[in-house]
Amino acid sequence: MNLDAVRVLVVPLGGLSRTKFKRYLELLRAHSEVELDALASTPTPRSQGEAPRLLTASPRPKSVSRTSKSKRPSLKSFKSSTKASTKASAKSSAKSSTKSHRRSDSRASAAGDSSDSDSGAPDIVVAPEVSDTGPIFAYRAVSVTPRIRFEFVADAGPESPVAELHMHKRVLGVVGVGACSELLGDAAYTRLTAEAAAYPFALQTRAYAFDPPLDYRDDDDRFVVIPSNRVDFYVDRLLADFGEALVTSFEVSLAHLRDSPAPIVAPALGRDPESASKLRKLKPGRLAKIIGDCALLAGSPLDGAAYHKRAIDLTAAASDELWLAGAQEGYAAALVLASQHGLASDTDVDCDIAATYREAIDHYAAAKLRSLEVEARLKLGLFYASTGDTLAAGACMMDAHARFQDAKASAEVHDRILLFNTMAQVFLSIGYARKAAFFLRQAALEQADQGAPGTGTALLALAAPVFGLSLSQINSDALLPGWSLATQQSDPSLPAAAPNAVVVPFAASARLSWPYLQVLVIKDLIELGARLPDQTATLKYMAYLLARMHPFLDERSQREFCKRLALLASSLGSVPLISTPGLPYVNLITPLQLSSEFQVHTVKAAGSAASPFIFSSFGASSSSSSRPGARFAHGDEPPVFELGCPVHFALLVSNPLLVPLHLEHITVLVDGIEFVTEAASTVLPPETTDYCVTLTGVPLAEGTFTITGVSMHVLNMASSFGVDAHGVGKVLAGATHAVKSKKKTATAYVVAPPLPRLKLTSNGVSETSLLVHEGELSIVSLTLENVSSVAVTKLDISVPRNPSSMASMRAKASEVILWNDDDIASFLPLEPGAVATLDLRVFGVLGDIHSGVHLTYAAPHKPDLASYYRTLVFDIHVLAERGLQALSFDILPVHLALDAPLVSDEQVAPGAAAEVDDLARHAHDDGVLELSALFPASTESHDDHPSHDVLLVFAVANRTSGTFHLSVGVAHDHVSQLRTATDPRDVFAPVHCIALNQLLEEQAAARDGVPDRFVTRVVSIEPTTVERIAVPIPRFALAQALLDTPIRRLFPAWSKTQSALKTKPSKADDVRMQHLMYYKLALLKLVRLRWFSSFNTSGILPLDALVLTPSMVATLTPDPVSLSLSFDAFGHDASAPNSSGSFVLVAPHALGSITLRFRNAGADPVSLSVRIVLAQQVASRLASTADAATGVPNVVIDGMLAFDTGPMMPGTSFTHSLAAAFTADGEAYDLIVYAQHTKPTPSSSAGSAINEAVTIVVSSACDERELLPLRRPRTGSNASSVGPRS
Amino acid sequence: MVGLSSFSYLFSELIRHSQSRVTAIGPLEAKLDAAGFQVGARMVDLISLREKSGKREVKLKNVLVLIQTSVFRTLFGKSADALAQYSSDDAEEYHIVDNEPLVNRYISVPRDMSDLNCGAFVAGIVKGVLAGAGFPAEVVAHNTPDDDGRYPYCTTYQVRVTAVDVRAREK
Amino acid sequence: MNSFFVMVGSDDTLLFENQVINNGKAASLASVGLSSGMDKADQKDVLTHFVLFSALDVVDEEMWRTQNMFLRKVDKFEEWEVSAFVTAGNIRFLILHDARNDDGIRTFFTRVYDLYMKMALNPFYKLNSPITSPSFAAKVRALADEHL
Repeated sequence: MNLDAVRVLVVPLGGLSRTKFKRYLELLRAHSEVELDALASTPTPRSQGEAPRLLTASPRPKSVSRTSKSKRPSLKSFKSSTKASTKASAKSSAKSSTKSHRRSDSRASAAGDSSDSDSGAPDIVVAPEVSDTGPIFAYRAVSVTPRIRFEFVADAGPESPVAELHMHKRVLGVVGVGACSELLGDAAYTRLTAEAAAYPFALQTRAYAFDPPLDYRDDDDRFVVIPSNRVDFYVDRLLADFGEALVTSFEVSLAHLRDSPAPIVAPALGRDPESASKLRKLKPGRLAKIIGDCALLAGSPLDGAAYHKRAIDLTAAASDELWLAGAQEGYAAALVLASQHGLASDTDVDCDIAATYREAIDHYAAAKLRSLEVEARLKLGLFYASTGDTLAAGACMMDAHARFQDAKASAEVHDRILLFNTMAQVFLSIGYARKAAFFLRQAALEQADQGAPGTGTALLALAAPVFGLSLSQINSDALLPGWSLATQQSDPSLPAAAPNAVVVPFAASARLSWPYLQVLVIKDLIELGARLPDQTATLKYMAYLLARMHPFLDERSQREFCKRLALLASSLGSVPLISTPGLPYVNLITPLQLSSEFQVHTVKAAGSAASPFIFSSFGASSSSSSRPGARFAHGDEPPVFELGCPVHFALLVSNPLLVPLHLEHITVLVDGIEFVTEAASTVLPPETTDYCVTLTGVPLAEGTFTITGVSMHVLNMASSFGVDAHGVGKVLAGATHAVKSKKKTATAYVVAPPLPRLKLTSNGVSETSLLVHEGELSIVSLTLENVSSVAVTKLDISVPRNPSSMASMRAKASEVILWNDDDIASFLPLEPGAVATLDLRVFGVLGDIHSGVHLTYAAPHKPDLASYYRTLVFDIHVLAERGLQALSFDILPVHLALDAPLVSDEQVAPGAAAEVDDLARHAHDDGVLELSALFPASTESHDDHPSHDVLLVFAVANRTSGTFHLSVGVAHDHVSQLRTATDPRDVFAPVHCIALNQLLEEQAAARDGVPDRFVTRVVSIEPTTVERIAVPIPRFALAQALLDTPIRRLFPAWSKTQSALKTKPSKADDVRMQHLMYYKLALLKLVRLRWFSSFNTSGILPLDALVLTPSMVATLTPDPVSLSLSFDAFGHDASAPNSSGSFVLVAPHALGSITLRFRNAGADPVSLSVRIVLAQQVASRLASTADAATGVPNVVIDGMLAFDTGPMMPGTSFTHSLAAAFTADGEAYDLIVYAQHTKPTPSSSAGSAINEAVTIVVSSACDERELLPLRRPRTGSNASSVGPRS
Repeated sequence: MVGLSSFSYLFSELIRHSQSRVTAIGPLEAKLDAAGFQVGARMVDLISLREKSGKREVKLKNVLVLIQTSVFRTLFGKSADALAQYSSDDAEEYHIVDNEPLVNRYISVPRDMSDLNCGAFVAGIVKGVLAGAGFPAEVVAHNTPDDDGRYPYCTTYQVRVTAVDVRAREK
Repeated sequence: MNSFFVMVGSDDTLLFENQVINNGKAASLASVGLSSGMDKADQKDVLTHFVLFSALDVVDEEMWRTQNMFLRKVDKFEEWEVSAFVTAGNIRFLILHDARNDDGIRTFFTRVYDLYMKMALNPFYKLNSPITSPSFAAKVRALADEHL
């Protein structure tokens, strides 16, 4: 509040340059406050000619003399009183009039006693009556040297309409400054006077001439020459003189005003002028106020206070609203000044000031003087701020603003700017940053409207931090000078997380404090920047807005800004490189692995001593890891590229905007070697993340390169993004030095010299899948063409050890795919352009195999190529079907039968009677019967418990087109137990029946040489046929100990999950399953089926078709029930018949009895149903025909041929006897007993059967012969008891 | 009010969870502190709503008293045992003493991390309450077993307010 | 009554906003926003935002002088008034309104405070983070219709 400053206009004189003018102005301003009694010698003030007018309406004073006369004493008094009151400060002038002393004292005393009655400020003395005589200013109670303050303005602008009320707004003096060097003459002086004339109230005029040359003659007294040395001193003096003169002229004009009868009219603010009488009534108050103002200007606040107080009373009495307000304001100002000068104690004054101001404001409001009111409010606010009452200050400010907004239409722009600035400053001073920012912004926008966008930007830059934006002038960025923008919270998730996180509105990651405000401020910045000559900053703001604030822009404005950005960027001519921040977000830049046939591998140092080839594992692993197009994973070793052959890069970009982004001229920045990348361009759809763009480049030199980043043109701006070690994109700071720092961590890719490359075709296709039968052999021919310019001198083929196939455990790829290395050697080296064919032999081994055949080739003869090689992968899929298949299994009980081919052959070597009718013949001729020849003594010993043989009968199918041979093997030891083989008549045909004797032969053969524990017999199976094969095997029983041991993990699923537990079978079932399993294992140990085909391949015929049922197992196991036969009374004497187990001799026409004894050796009671059949042997028919004439039946059997034994307790036996008579001599019969268990018991053989047969030979030739020692019949102990009875 | 057993179970789980993710003690305490902060910052509103009938605490001292009494009572069923002010030129320093911290009652600190104090959780709570009430402060939990060993787990929470404006507010 | 309600976190984060302004008033408010070539629709909201944001200064001053949560009218902008409410956790509710209605505003604030508490006790809500729950918005809107 500069009510105490005298406004002085400074005008340049002559052709004064601006810089000099500025200098002089500063010089003056440096001394804008001078002490009044500092003037040593009073040069007679020049402007004595006429008393200047102080008020618009005040008439011109008549004559100079009067004023000059009336001035004198007052000046004296002023000086003396000053000296009196001043503590011997200045040099005292000798002459001092006692009269003036007395007067001042009396005034002081008067003031003293009248102060009590005064209701106003306590320590302010009542102003004297504005008497007709006497001086006006008294400078009473001034404890300090009175001082006057100037406000030097270079441009005073138009006079404010209410200047009547504000002296300090009025130009009261004009000072011309000039340089002596310039020509100063009449022209300059007249100009000065003209300037002064423009301001009618300019009381004093001065013309100063600075910087006189040495030889300057000061002849022109119109100009006060200021010597160059001690400029300050002189300026101080001169200004003091100036001020003195001003004060004088104040007094002059005030006195004149006081004396003149003319009324003081208020400024005409569109209100009807008061009447003359009213004016006369109003005059004293108004006069007092004006005097008060002048007093303030003259630097005597106490006087001012006094006069204003008086004015208040008067004007209030006269209800002169406007002037009352002015007086109150002035009074408050006076108080403030007083307290500032330490003339009054602050505390109790403050409230007074505030109150007065409020009144003033009210009255202004009543007087409808908006501008004045606003000003007053501002001042009050300032005052509050100075007293530290921030709340009140804030309220005041807001009120002022509100009132101002009401009067906005009337107010000028620079007023507004002034207001906003001042409010901003006030708010800043009281620490209201946000409000200050608000008004700063308003001011900035106003400035922009006034065509000063630069200052506007600067103001916004001040305001921005409050909104969480920092606007900083960056010099480092050489590419785009200007302001750079950033969000202030150093929130790492903002720019750093750009790659993977598209910033979403209100995501916790992006902490934008008050997004709308930030967006708005940035928009303002853009608008302001748009009016600046340099558009680059705007570019940045828009880019920043789009890249960082996009979540808070709707699609329309996003599109609009994109368009504007593009337009602006294109208007800038050369494509500008926008550094921060980048759109779109680049997430990843990585080179793509070449397709497998182009891939180049480097030889591992390990094991590469002799040749660069270690294909075994490396080839496989590299091929498995490098699927074509697979992104090279971190940690895996980087791919190697070939000179001149294209490299593809995968670029992942994200577009967070709601509008599509056009990316043009996308190129990869590569460091290290010469590299051409062809610029790609694409359109990013809205809101896409990880949109993949494939870029292509060609290395032009050998060596290693690193990917430093990618550059692209977005919205006509070039942005370049750097990458870190993993190829993850980040916004690149314009220049490339940021990339250099990254280089050490970035992965280096090797570019190899040109290498040989083969093109592979196999029957035109690159992948072969073929179906072969097990054991079949087929040929796949590969065609290799060298499409490179380098000869291939080394080529190796390998198949991976572990092909990814389910059946790999069945068939190893190395067994399936065969090749001949000599073929390869034959066509090496393969010159460029040459074509070679290579045959792969694929062999059908059961199972299907997906396998890659790796052809690894290189040109090791060239030293620089020695460390590289390539691999061609030829995928082949072999599906081999099984050739032989076991269909069904069955186990048949077999009855004992004589192992005889049963063909009637007359020529049989004597003594080797192998047939029954030989027997008869022999009996006829020499009568010597070689029973030993007939019944070779069996070597093995027989236990009491009988064990019968069974037949394992199964069908084998040959589904293939080739003949298979099946070698059926039975284990040695079991063969030796086999007693006999089956009779073709009993087993259904057609069956390949393995006869015992063949087995025996092969056993013997086996014993000689081959240490095979199997006795085998080969059966050939024709294509597409099914053969049944019966193998005799002995019954066997497994040791109970074995059966009791449970089979671990027999049913793994059952012990696992709850649901499985539900389906778990009962204990008994479990045990039975175990037993079946054991029996199956034992059976498979017993019998082996091995197939082999014409392609000398062989394999074991899997017997997985063999399913054992309890009944089959029962048939396998030895039957507890044994049968023994005995023959009584057959023969010529009563002696025991010549029974030889399965062979009994009986005499013709002899009557006898056949006794069957069943014995239950098992643990459970058993009951049998028995059927007895007597069958005449085929070969002996010829004999029987002889007797056909007589018609006598050859055989008579009396007895039950079919009966049931009751339940036989364990250990007991059941006997049944038949009476029989055989008449025809030389005949042979088979007595066959079928015994079937009727009540199968769990443990014993359920459903098993006993099939016993005895061959009865009727021969009369055995009479006169002593019995030959017979082998002990194996059909039971009782046979031995059938001895000769004596 | 939560059962003590369930509380200690939850708290032990919290510690185990945090421990499984850090190696050193510092980070572990930091995690506990952060966990506590969230609790504390919510406690402010809750307490004022429940007990203060819609009044805010605008003085640091009062807030601390609130913590000592209401917050501790609400959380641990008993108020803290002492609240002491310490004169310090660069900060407003207060100490809140809890003789038997609930959080340490069922925590047996292993040898190798003997200087771990699960009171860090409570320190976080205190910090949260203070920050929520507008008094950002540093809160550290110290193991201060008393000499006669009556309170082996006695813990002191050291509150230091250094922010200039806050201290100015206190003046 | 036209009103514009915001919740501001203790770190000046805008947590929530609810605007009930019919055009006439809005226009008068918007007209204050100095034209910087921006579309008016944008202007309107953002100027209200500005006013409320700058009112925070006064709130920060006032809130340390009283223990009350409801600070009544803290600031005025032309004919608009700003009433404030500060929770114990220093979450600041501001409302810009054009008619004097202290009781209504007080009840509105307290009800919203209850809502906020219910939501803030959810451990998955990060304090001082913007409130996105639509149900919360709906309830606040209902409260505004009821009390303002």
